[in-house]
Amino acid sequence: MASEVFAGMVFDGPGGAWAAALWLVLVIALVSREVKVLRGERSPRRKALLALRVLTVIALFLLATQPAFVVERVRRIEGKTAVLVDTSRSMELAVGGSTRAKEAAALAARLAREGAEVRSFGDRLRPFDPTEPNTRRPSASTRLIAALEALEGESSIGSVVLLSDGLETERARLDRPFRFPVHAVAIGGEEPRVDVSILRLRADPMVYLRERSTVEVTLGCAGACDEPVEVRLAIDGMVVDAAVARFEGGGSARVKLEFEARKLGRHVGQVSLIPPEGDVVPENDRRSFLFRVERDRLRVLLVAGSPAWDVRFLRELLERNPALDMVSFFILRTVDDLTMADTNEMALIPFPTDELFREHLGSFDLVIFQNFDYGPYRMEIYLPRIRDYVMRGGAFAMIGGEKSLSAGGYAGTPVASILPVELPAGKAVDPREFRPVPAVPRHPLVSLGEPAREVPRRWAETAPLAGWNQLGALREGARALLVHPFDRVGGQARPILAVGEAGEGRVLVLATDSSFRWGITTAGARGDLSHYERFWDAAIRYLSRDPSLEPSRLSTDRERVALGAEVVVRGEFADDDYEPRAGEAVALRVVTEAGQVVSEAEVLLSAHGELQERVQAPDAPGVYFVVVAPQGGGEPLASAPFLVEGEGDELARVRPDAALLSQIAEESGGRFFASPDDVPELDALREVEERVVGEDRRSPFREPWFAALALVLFTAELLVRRRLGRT
Amino acid sequence: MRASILASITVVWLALALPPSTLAIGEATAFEFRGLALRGLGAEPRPTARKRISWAIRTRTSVETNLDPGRVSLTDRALFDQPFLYLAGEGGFPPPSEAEIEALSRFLRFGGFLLVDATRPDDAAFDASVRAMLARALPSERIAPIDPGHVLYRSFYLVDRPVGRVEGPPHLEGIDLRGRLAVVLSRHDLGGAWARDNLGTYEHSVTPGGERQREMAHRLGVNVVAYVLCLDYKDDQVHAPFIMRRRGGGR
Repeated sequence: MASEVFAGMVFDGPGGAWAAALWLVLVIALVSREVKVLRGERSPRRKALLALRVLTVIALFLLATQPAFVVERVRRIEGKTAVLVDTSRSMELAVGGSTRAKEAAALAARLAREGAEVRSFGDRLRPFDPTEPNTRRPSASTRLIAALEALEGESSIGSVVLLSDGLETERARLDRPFRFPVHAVAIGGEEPRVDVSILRLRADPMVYLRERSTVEVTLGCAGACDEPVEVRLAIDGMVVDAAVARFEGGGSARVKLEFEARKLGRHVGQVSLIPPEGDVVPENDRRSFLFRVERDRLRVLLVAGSPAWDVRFLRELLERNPALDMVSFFILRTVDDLTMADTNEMALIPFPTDELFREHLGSFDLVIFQNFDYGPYRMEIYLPRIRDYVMRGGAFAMIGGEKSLSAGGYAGTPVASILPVELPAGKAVDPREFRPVPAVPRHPLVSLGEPAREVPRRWAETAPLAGWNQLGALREGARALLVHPFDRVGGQARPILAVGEAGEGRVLVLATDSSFRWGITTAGARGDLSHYERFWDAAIRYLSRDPSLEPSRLSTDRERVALGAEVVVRGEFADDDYEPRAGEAVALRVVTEAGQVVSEAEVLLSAHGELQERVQAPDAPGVYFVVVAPQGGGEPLASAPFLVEGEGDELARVRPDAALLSQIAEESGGRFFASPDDVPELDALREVEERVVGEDRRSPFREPWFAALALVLFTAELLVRRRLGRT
Repeated sequence: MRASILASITVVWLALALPPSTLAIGEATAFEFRGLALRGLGAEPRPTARKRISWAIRTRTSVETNLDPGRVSLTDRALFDQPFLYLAGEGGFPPPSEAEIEALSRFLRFGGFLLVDATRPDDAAFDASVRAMLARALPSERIAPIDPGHVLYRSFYLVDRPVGRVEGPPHLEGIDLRGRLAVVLSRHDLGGAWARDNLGTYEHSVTPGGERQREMAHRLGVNVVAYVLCLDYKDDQVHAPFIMRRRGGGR
C-alpha cells in the first residue's frame, strides 16, 4: 500500500517558472497601482474595488501560469539480505571439533532457509550452496572488502550478513562505509593453541654472483610463544643458513638469514621454521621465493710464465673488458737470469703463490695458466687445490707454449686429471706453422657468430699459428673444437682447442702460444682484428657458463604466476655439438621441487630445435620447474623454475581479526556478532526502505470551471468600474 | 710521490728453483728486436745493437728473444708477425709512400710498437723526417713527452731518466693510443750504448756517465721490451692486493 507525499510545485503555463515570475511582477504592479488610484475613495467602496481587483488579477495569474502540484506515491520495500561466506584457506582451520568453514556453512544454511541469498568469497564472489560447501578448493586469498564493494552494484540488496574470520589479505583497512548495513559475524573466535607462522619474507629478486645476500623474515606467533624457533634458509634444496627467533614482548619476531649466490640463472630459495609442538598450521611454516643471479664482474686470474706477445695481447683484451676484474701475474725473471742490478733497483715483487692459490683461489671465476710451468715455484702442493677448485665449479684454461701442458711437466699431475685431453709424456711440442681446422662448426667458441657454412672459410683466412703443443686423445665427454690439419693422435685429428667438464667446472686447453696471430697478424692481411677478440670473448663467457652460450636454453614468460594461470614456455635445444635438435619429440613436464611430475605433454621441436608452448600452472602454490627431457628418457635438456603464488599472506595470520569485522559493521550501520550463536533470525537483520513507485501531477487551474470563474470576476470588475465611472 | 710508489713495489724476487731455458714452440713467437728499414735512410748506424740488446734481455729476464733479429720494410708481408719495430738512423729520409704510411698506421693501431732512436740529440733532419712520417701515419695523435712516472720507467728496472750513448734530453717522447704507448722516441743513441763487436768489445764510448750510463741504457732497453710485452702490468700489481682483499672466500 503506497502513501502519497507532496513533492513540489511546477508551472505548466507557457514559459514555465520564469514566465510565472514575470506574471507575478505584473500582478503586484496592477494591485499597487489600484491602491494608489483608490486613495481618496470612501472606505467601503475602496475596499470593495480593491478586493475585486486582487481577486481578478490572481485568477488571471493562475490561469496564465497554470501552477500544478506534484505528489509522489511511496511504498515501503524490504531489501534482499545477502549472506557472504568466507571460503578462503584460513577458514579450513580447526575450531574445537569442527572447522571455521563448517561453522560458517552451518549458519549460512540456516539463514538460507530463512530466505537469505548466499554467496561465497575468497579471491572473488561466487554462488554458494551451503548444503554442499566443499565443491570448490579453498581460495588462496581473502578479498573481503573487495567482495562487499562488488555487492554494492546490486540495487536489490538491502543488507549483508558477513561470515568470516576477518583475515583480509589484500587491504589493511576500510576506506569508506558501504551503501548497506553489514552485519559481521566473527567465525573461529577461539584462537589456535599454538601457531608460529612466516608473516613476511623480504628477499632481493636479483643478486650478484659471489655476493652475500640477506633474506629478512618476520615471524608471527599465536598462542603460547615462550619457546625459541629455529628458522632455516635453503637455496636449491640445500640448507645454507639458520637463525633462532625469539618472541619477546609480542607475537612477532624478525630474523636475518644470509646466502652467497654461487651459480648464474634463476634459483629457488625456501625459508622454513621448525614448528613448536602443537603447531596447528603447518602450511604457514615455509615460504619459497625465486631470485635471479647475475654477475657484476667476472673475476679472472691470469698467470703467465714469461712476457710474450700472446700474453700481452690476451692481457690487453681482458683489461679492456669492463665486465672483468682481473688480477695478473707474469714471471718477469727467474733466479738464473743475471739482472746486473741490486734488488732495490728493480721493480719486481715475489710471486705470491700461497696468497693466490691458498687464500684467494676460490674467489676467481676463471683461472688462466698461460705458458706457465709450476715446477720452478714449487707449486706441486697447490695443484690439488686447482683441481678441487674446478671440481667445485671454477673455470680453468691452460694455454700452450714451451712451459705449458706436457712441456710444463703437467702430465700425471692433479691438474692433468681435469684437462679434457690426455697429456703425452715428454716435451711434446712441434714448432712448425699450421692453420687449425674447426671440428665443431656450430660451437660458439668456433662459430664466433658466423653461420656454420662460413666457419671453415673464416678459420682458413686466419694467419698461421707458430707451432703447437702435442695433446693426447680426448677424454670422455670432452670436445675437440679446433684440430690440427694433418697431425693425428689415436686415429683422430690431434686436438688444438679442446673443452670439457670436470666436476662442476669447465676446462679449456689451447695448444699454442700464438693465438695473438688471429688478431694483429690476421688484421695486417685482412684489416680486421675481430677474430681474435671474438674468440677470446666467447671462450671467457663459455668457461664462466654464460647461460646464453649453453646448447639448450629454456625460459618462462613470467617468474611468478597465479594459481592455474597460463605460462608461456620458450626454449632452444641443441646437442653437445650445438646441432639443433630439429623435429625431435621431447617431454615437456611441470614438476614440483621434490621432483613429482604435475603435468606432462609430448612436444615436437621445430626445424631449428625451438619450442614455444603454453602450460597451465598448478592449482597449489609453490615453486615448480618446467623441464624438457628427451621423450625416450634420459637427462633433462633444460629446466626453468617458476613460482605459483598463493600461499603468500593467506595463512600468514591465523588468529581471527574481529577488529576489522567490528569496524565494518559499525561504519556501515550494521551489527557485529562475536559468535555465530549470537546471530538472530534473519527478519531482525532485514533492511526496509521507502521507495517511490509513482508520481501524480495535479493541475486544478486547468479546469473549465476555473476559467469560467476568472471570466466572471473579470466581467464583474469591468461592470462595477463602469458603473462607478471608473475605467 | 713517485719515490713512494716505487718503494712500495720494489720487492725482492724469490723464485725457488731453476727453470730450464728452452726455445719457444716456434722461433716466431720469441721476441724479436726487429729493425725497420726505410727507403733512403741508409744502413743501420749501429748494426750490432739489436743483437746485443736481445742477448741482454734474454740473460736478464724471462723473455725469450730471437738472437738473430732481422729487419723488415713497411711493405714486407712479415711486418705483422712481430709487433715490435726499432728505427735507428742518421739524417733525413724521403717521405714514405702512401702504402708504407698506411701499413705503419695499421701496424701501430692494431697493437704494434715502434722505438725510434736518433744517434745524436741534435740530428734535426732525422727528427723532422720521423715526425713527418708519424704525423701522416697517425694524423690525429700528437707526440708528447713521456711523464717521468710512466710505467715504462719501472716495467723491470727502476730508471730515473733516459740515457744512451749520450745523455740527451731529460725525457723520452711518445704517442699514446688508447692508454698504450705505441711509439717511443729517444734522442739518446740507445743503440750506440748497446753495440758491441764480435769480440764483445763495446763499439762506442758513453758520455758523460761512462759504464754506469751504459748500464742504465741497457736497463732502459730492457724496460722498453718489458713494457711492450706487459703494458701497464706494473700498475696492476699495485692494485692487485686490494682487488684480492675485497673478494672474500669463494669456492
